[in-house]
Amino acid sequence: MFQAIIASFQQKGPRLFHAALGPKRKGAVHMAAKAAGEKLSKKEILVSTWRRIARNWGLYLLLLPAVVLLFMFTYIPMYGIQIAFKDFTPKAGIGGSPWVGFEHFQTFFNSFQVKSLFTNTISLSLYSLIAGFPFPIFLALAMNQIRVKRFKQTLQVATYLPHFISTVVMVGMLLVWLSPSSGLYGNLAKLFGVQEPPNILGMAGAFQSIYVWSDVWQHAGWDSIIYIAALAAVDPSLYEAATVDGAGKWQKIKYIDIPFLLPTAVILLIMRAGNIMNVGFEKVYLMQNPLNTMVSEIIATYVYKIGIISNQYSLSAAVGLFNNVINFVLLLLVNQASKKMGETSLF
Amino acid sequence: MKRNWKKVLGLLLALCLVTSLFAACGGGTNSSTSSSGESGASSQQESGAEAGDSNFNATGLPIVNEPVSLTFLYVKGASLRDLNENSMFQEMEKATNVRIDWQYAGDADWAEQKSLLLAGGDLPDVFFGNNSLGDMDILTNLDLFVPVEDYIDQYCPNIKAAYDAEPIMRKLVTQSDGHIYTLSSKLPMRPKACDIPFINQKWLDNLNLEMPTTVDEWYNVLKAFKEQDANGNGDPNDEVPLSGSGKGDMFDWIRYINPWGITDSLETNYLALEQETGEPIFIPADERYKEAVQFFEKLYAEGIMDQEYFTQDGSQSDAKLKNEEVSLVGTGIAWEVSSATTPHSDEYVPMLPLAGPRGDRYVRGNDGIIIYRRNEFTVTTACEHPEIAMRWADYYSSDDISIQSYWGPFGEALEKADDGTITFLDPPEGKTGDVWYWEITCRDYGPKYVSPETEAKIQLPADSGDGAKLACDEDFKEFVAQPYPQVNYTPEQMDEISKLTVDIYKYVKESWANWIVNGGIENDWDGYISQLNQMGLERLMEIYQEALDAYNAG
Amino acid sequence: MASLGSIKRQVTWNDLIFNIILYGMSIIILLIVIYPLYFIVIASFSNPTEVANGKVWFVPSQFTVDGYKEIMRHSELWTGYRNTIVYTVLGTVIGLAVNIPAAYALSRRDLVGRKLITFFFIFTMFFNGGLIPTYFTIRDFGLYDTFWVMVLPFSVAVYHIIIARTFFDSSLPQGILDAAQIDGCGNLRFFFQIALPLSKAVLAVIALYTAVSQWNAYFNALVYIRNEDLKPLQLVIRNILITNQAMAGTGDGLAAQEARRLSELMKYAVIIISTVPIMCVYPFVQKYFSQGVMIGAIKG
Repeated sequence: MFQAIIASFQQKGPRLFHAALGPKRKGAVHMAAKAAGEKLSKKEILVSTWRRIARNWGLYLLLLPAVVLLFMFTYIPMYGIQIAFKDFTPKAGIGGSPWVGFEHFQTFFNSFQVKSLFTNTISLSLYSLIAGFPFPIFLALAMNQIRVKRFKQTLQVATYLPHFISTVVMVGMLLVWLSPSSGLYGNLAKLFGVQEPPNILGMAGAFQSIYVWSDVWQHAGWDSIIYIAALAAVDPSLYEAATVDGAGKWQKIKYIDIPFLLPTAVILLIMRAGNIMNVGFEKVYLMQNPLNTMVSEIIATYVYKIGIISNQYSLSAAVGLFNNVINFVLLLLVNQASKKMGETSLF
Repeated sequence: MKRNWKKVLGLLLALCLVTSLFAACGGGTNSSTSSSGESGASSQQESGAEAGDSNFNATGLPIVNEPVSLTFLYVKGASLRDLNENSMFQEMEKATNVRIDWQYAGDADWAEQKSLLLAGGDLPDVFFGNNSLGDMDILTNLDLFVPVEDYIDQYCPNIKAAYDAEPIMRKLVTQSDGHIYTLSSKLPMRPKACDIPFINQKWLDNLNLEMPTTVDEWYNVLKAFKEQDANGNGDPNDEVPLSGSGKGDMFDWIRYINPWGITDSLETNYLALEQETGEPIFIPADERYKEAVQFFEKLYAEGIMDQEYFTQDGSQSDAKLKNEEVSLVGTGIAWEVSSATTPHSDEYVPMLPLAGPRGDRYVRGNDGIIIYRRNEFTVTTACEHPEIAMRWADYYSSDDISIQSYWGPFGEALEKADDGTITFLDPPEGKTGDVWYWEITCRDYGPKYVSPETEAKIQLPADSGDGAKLACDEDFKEFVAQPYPQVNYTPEQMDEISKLTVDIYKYVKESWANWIVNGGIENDWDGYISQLNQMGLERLMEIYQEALDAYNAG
Repeated sequence: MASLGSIKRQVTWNDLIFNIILYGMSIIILLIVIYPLYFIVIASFSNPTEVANGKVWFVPSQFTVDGYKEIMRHSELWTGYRNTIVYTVLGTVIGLAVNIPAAYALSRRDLVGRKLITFFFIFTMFFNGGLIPTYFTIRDFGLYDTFWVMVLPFSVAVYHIIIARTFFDSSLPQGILDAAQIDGCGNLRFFFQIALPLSKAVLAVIALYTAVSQWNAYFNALVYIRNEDLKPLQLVIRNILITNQAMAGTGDGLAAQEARRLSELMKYAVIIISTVPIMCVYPFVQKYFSQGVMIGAIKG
């Protein structure tokens, strides 16, 4: 019965499930030639391509501001990537600093901590990704179903507010609440009869969980906004059709809402995968203490600490570049995988 | 309606395009893509007339005949009001004819801005105050700064006299290449001892205990604090005999290990000096440190040391010390006891240094940091007339100006009598003097020197923070050990140090926290030392020895 | 039709359970989220020592407005407020004008070079020259220490472009474009007259995201702005809150402690003051997220 709904949906809005589908719109000549089974000469392909470009001049105009700005302020400065391969000193400038090749990368990899740095960074990032991913979707789906308008609005506003709390204050609050002597955690434990609760802030094993779940608490609401907006575009007649067919609320969510959100969700997941090495510095740094550094020392905090005593421009540039390369490779991989699975892809 | 909508958007789009192009061309190209900031700052310096020989006076006031403006970069705390409102600076400007154009940097993110500025921004004429540039910043960018030793000899009688009278001031700022790039300062009315131990006398009285004089007595007292109702509120469990914050680093705790025979240098380098031989010691690799850690492991295990010591931050440990209803903390170490322990400061008293297992009694102190500072005044190559800046600095280092720069202008914070006696005026209602001084003047920052004769004429109020500290210092200064001095490193040494110490310090901190909380130092010690050596500890100590030798020789 | 009746009853029973679970969970979520926010409000009115000691639960402890008073003392805060409002409004308009058209163009399958251009954008999410060369570039283009630097050079947000592109991809049926083209509608006209009005939801989302990131921005100001009059709110706030380092010295007793105390005092109040405005914006944007915004277009 639900296949009928899906089929009717596809007639109305063919893009809603597989955004990668859709006919490629080549020129009329090209189509005609293909139909006739002829092979086009190179010149004819070139001409038809130019025609298509010329016909869509408006689209290129729409692209222009973004392209110009990106070029001016992101591509031009890219010559600075060479800092990672030089021994940069301010007085010599970028041009005058000597080349050292991969020396800084070697310094980084020779560090005693490098293995734990990688493990810590990647595991924290993955944990964050996996834990943080479903909640915004879940929230959006739930809020979409709430009919009581006031309650819905209150819930929405309340869930996105924590996003605005600055990291410094957030960590400060965590330290106060999780204190075994005077915090919420301590008092709750005493309520349950545990007189001297263990200090979870000092437990290396708890670090990642505290970090990740406080992040989820803080950002799930804000991240759900985009899914709420996506759900707003669902044609209500679909719900009506589903009701007529006897679908309950669960089924509506399962067969209408979730597939509708899928393209957006996949794209966001791909982009998050491309950020895997970029675990935020500030929150980790503030949450570090000597009892958890074996888990909490990540690449970003390490680079920061090296740079405290001496300005290690080139070393931080090298590590940063390395991070970016890994991110990029991962993005390409995940993107490929997503294409293979027939879902949406980034490009 | 739709047409208008489209028109508006189209216009907006066009506007953006035009603006971005305009911004690109209109601003012009200062083609200094990799400059070292030499030409950059001249736009900020408005030289009135030709500030050449004709304008500049080698001696006397004013310094220049036609007004000249210099840009000073100063990292300013948010509570300090604009220095242009400071009457001392206003007087100085009138007297010297040199206007100071203050560029303030917020200290929150100064580190980021600093590297950018040094890498190619517009340099100010002078970096003012030791919180603007650190040793390493100066060391790795010597080309950006002007060597001033000749200017000192030629134009700066005050500074020269100060350096002659107290050679440490010259030593602190002489680099390995023999040049002087920054100026040092001597703060007036400073104590010799840094942080001193204190204990809750009321708790001792409540439990009929004697003031402890050795670490073992101290342990017994703390144990009693823990087990009995020391603060007298009926609850025997709410006392925290020893608290503090070890969350960021070891430097809160390192103050406690003096009884075992080592004191740190007050810098964050874990270095002490062997008192007899003068050799540098890496504290976390020393036997005495091991003993201290074992002692504290016992304290932690028995609940005497705050179980949250390693996870709470400074504000939380402060809050325990300053708890409103009843005092919660039994002992600690602080710069000045009464201000650290409000609102129950009447219960706490300074505790003379405890004697350790070998009878050592030490308190940490370092003249080179408490009294003398460096990097207070750095002239950059952007300054077209270093002689003007240096003469200004010399005038700033005169007795009167130095005193005013530390506490506040005459007439507002101080009063100078005809015979030269300096007395202090009351701060505004509701403020303490110490807090107020930080609001009106640059306090610690800037070159300074007050001659001993003038210092003797300053009458510090006994209840001010400075006064109380000095009074207290009388009892403690004899216990100050010789620290590892503030040496000067070469850029290569600093580079090596920074690379070696990242791994070493992390390992040290992790082991330290782990041993105190979980024990096991006996078994781990040998493996720990050999691991440290693998990380390059021996090489690190070599560097420190070299730097020390150079310092002692120079 | 007996079967239909029984299905209907079954469906209603399921729906009831569903609703119970839904509203139950929502209330729990609401409480989990609201309590910490409430905590911030009451903490901003409490003595910071009491807060750090965990004494603040449901009411302020040792009620004080000193935090707010201290904040008001800093007049540069108001300049910061004004600047941030300007940056936010301008930045949002420019951000929309730059990113949305690009996103639409990229969503069109028949764009020649689509993959290449997309790659051009995405590449910049991963690789950039670093702070120093960007700094030089900004300087060379004359944007240093101007207000433009806050709203123009970094206004391209590839993340937003991708999101918007996905929206255009999945919500604009091909049929509309086909019909319009048959009617002789050009690309630009289609974009402005048809695509945009249909995409209110995504416009609202991107506008909101852009506005919030502008509101929270401080790093660019830190690097590129020297003029006190141009500094945005968050930068001023950071300077106020993290100021105690200048006074720490080697434990200069009273002053350092006072600075720390003030910073603690203001911590929570600052959040309230700097966040309230942006919180008020969302309800206005919310109406674009209500269901069925697209109905008219499709049916037509």
